Amino acid sequence: MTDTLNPEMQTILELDRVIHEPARLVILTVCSSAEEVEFKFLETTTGLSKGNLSSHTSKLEQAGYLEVVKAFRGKIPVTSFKITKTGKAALASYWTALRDAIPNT
Amino acid sequence: MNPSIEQLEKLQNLTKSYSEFSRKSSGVAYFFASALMISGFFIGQHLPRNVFGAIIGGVIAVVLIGLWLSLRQALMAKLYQQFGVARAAAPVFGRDFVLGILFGLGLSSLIFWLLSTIALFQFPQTYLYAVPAILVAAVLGFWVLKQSGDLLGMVVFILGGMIGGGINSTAENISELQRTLQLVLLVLIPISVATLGFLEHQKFKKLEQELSQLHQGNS
Repeated sequence: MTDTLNPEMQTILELDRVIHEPARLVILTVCSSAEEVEFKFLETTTGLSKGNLSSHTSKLEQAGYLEVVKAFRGKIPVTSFKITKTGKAALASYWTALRDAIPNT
Repeated sequence: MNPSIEQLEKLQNLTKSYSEFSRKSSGVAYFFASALMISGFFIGQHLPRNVFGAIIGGVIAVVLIGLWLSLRQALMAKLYQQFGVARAAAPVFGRDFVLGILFGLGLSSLIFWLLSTIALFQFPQTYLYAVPAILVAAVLGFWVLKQSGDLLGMVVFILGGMIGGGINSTAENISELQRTLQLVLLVLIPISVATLGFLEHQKFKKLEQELSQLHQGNS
């Protein structure tokens, strides 16, 4: 089907679906701006519920874009996230592809 | 949720700024560091110029640093990490630069101290304060480098107060005017650092407001 589409449309269809989902794009964008971010900070910046956030970060982890760091602060468990090299590369490719498809972005 | 590119860019900038504060805890912590530096300076001026004075100086230096680290930790938890921790990557160049300076200072101080104490049978009073202070800073530096490069700078700054106080009161062949100028300079430095802290804190207040609005808008 994609053979009949124009190149821009084809690029859009080939966008990384893991990143293209808005919540995951926001999570990855936030993680790419720091070395490591805590779950609480992602909650503040994304506005997602704990369950939703967990679900999206799990998908990003499965894709190899995020690394989950579990630690304890005193007796309190703290979960943090680090963007991986694959994640950084995938995010950069995503933006390049999007700009190619829609030049004004 | 359907973020625009502008929103994503804003989020990136907010995260970068917040992660810097979250890591450095600058601002109010610089205020306290300046107060402790001045305290160290005046204590350093009144310590006896002998081994006992050096030991007391070392203990007071450790207490001052410990106090500052505790205050900084409390400030981080209550203020600069209130939205959760976002750790900014420490600049590699800055880290290596600080480490290089520290090693150079520590090693040259140690060599000078050993040479003048053992080889020349003299007891250099000023270096008596500088050597343990720099060595303490080096040990602390290794511990903190993984966490934060500028933490080391503040530790050296606080220690510098005590060393500066010692040098100011023991320096020979200088006029009263020169001594007063040294004193004014050593007091002006912490005042500048405190001003920087105040400006940094003002920046954080703006950032805090933006993040609060974002949080309220999201929830």
